Amino acid sequence: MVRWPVICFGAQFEMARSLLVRSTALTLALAAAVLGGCAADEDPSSLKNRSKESETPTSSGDRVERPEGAFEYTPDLALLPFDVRLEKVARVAGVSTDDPILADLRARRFDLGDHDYASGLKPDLTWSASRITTWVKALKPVCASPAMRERYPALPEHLDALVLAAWGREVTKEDRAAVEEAIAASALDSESQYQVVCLAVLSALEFVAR
Amino acid sequence: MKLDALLSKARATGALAAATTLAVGAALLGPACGGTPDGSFQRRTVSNGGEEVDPTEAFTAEDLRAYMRQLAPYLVSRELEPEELAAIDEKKFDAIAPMLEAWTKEAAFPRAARRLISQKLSVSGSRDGIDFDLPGNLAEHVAREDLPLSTILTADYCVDANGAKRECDTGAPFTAGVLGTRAFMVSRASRFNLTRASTMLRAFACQKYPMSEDVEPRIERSRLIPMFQVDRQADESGAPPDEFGNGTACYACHSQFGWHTQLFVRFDASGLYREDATGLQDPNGELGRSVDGLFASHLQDPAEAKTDKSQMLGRAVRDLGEAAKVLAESPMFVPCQVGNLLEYALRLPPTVEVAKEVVEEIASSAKKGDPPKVTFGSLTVATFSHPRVVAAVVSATNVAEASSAADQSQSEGEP
Repeated sequence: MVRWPVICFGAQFEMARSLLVRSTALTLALAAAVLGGCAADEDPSSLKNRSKESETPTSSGDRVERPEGAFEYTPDLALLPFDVRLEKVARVAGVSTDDPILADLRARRFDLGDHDYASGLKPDLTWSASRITTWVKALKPVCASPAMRERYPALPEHLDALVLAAWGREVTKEDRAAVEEAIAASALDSESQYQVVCLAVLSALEFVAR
Repeated sequence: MKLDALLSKARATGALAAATTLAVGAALLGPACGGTPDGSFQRRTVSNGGEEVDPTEAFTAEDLRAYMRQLAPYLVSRELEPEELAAIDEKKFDAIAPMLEAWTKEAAFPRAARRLISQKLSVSGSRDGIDFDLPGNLAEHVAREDLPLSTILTADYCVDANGAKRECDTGAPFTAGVLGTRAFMVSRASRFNLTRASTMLRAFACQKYPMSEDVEPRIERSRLIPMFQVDRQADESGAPPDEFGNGTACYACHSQFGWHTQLFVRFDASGLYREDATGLQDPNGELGRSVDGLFASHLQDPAEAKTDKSQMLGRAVRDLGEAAKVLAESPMFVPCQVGNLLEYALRLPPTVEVAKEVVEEIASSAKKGDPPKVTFGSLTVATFSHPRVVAAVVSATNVAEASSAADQSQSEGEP
């Protein structure tokens, strides 16, 4: 059983954690946090020399003839640059990146992996437990903002819209079932439910990494 | 389970549910975005071991959704929109180039150029009154204004944080785009100016030392300071010389380094241009350092050691500004930027070899307009819409998914 770092969000955080654990997609965020980095158990040799194959299976198992790959590519998941993550949050909320609801994120930019080469800070694209904690804390004003309420009046009722905006894909049955199951098992009021669903979606690895 | 495979699976799961719900948005990428007057979005076939493969048939919508979802955050700082998902579902590969073209018009796109240059040159922020954002500002400006990509090396101005043109900050009587900034000079200051030279050649020509003499003819041995004249040294035991390491094969690299380091000999460690530079070794200083924060030349003759004049890719140049223009006009510049784009958006290590013919096709098809020019936008479209670039990513992702599925069924079968 995976252990999460203790952070003080009480029942809200417990529910967010539950959502993270139960959803396939959201589990990625948890995995990254626990592993302390991206693709920590990757075995590069397992993928080498395969990406140039001209006939490969699709996700559905069909085989198609493709052009030969221009290079050997090994997918390597990493945290998106901080300013990209900031812009994505702003876009989901429908505000500009200098909006007050993003003040906490901007203030913690270096804790969240942003770079300032002049000061000797290189980009840090690892997604550690402490970093995900900082990220979630800094997201709380976003999830509590009227801007989010205007776009997504209720969660999980408007989960479709939030997932589409945040992850660039439609919500799946698995996503929805995980959220509904977690909510059903909790005793949170509707405001708390809104917060945890929002935090979970915007902290998922699918949102913060590629 | 591998994290990347998990992510791919998550993407795939979403993609399967999407097909029927978003078809309406496809119209948004219809005639208005479907092509350009020069026909750059026309369907083309790609050779695959002698057989022609139609890329429209080669990729599923699911594959292409995953591919474009990889690119979108890096290029336009966002996820795919519903109408884009629908366009991929409907048009598959034919949706890719128009979509990328539309992205290059978005406000967020120039910031991708900033990120690429800032990361490549390791410059951002400010310190001691030096603006380390100048190179990134210029890159963003070049992308926003759709200027030739070569402008990042040839601009005779710098750009401030508000996007306005300003003078550059080295005090030099010439300009050299991002190279002519204190940010570049300070971040790459080192003895003999080796790091400035190697970064310049690596970032803008994808060359490292020693390079072919066809690329950069060597300085005559006698013109170099004695330590760089050495080819090989046998040790005292008479054993064969080690092929690696400083002091055993100096001439091979430094006979080319010497041309490029000379271009920086008048820039001190703080990045300021110094008319009084001599290029001579400080007799009391560390090897490779001249006096007063300057760095030593490779050249022995004091008259040569102090001058801005040198050579770039076989051509005599008056100074760094002229050298930057030669570099920007060289046939290596655009192909190298293809590699930089792949490194930026796909995190492809620069050591990975990209098929030469693909790079040439990309460089050629990225030329747009009259007169033809390659811009950050046109190169982005040409690079990421090339079927063999798409194939490299999609195939690897499929392999990861297959591996993930195999892992999963194996673990489910275990007691």
